[in-house]
Amino acid sequence: MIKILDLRDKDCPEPLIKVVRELRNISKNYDQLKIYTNIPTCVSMIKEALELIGISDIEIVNIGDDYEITIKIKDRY
Amino acid sequence: MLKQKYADVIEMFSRQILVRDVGVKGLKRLLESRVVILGCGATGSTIAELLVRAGVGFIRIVDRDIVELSNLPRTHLFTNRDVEELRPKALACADHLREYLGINKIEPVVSNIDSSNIERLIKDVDLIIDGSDNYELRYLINDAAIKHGKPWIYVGVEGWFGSVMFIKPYETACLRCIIPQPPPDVGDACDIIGVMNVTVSMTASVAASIALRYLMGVKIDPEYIFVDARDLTIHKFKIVRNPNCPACGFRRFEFLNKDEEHVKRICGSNSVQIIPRERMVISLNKMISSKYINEEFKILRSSDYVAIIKHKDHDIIIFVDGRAIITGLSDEKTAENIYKKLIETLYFTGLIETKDQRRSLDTSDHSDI
Repeated sequence: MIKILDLRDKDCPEPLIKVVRELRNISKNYDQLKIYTNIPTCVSMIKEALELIGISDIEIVNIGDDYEITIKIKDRY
Repeated sequence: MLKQKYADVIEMFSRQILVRDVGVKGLKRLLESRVVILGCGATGSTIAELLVRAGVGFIRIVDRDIVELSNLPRTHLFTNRDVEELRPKALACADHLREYLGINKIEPVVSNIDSSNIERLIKDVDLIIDGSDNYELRYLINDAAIKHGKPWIYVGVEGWFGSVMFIKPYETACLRCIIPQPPPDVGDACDIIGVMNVTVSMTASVAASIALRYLMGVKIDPEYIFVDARDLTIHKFKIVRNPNCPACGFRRFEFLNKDEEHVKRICGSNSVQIIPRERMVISLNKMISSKYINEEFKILRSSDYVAIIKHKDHDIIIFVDGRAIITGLSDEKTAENIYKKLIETLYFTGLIETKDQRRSLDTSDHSDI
């Protein structure tokens, strides 16, 4: 199952906080989290935050003005 | 730190990590940083609060004194209750700091700082902060910092004025590059020179800003910063190393190598501090319910950490480790005689425990400090 967070047009820290909250409250119902944002500074901030938490399996794809960040959930946080 | 905990921390610092030069990387560096604050009075406690709230992971707080009524107007962390309970400043500071975020490790050390313990206090930290009120300790910090290659921040306040200087051994000027010897007759100025609390806050904020930027990996310019809290100005002066500096030039650590004075006038005031030559433990808890030790020594107040004992015209503040401050006199010999008499009396009345029963006020791993 894939959980999608559409955070386009939202400035950080809101997307960052939403991602972190989602990870904290993650359920066993899905094993992938896809985040959509169109704010480049937010992308690097989310990436750094995920690395700090210890999540390294991250894929970032640039699609036009948008970014798709995929996190594969291996552990429960 | 657990992953779950990191997630909470990122949310907690979500505003701070938006700031330029900080980001998640800066936060991570702060969380992993270790700082010692030598002296937890007005400046030390204010800087400590700022560093704790910014996310510095470990802070060791060292102070020898108890919280007094005259500290409250200038000090962020202390309350009337700390005064009433005769709480050591280091413990009061630590307890209040732990309440703020709940993620920082705070290590209080209730101890005099001298050449016998300063190297142990600083050797495992990334940055030393001067929270003292006297030049003698600053020269000792300077020696120890240079010997161990540890950066430190000099902080001084007086009236409406404050000064701050970041010192990185062998890269910036050190204290002795600028003032080779302690200024004559300056001594400990805390009791005789007035200080405005806004001066403390402004100066402490400057020092904390330097500390945080250094800990996050920003290069700090070698400058002497002068804070004027009356005219509301901050001036910066470039400083350069003195190649003939006895400390960072020739590595002569005169203050570090000096024998400790066990009996000494303190703080520009009418009082003398005595540090016992041998380790001892005073059973202060047994004094709490008593009024007198004998007819010469009356117990005014007592807590687990300290007792105030009246002897003629003098108050004796005695700590659990036998260190004492005798007020109302400046003659060291007289103070020593009073102290000897008190210690003998305490021995005879069974209020001094053996070394084996020794307990330390220090709640950290530094119980030998």
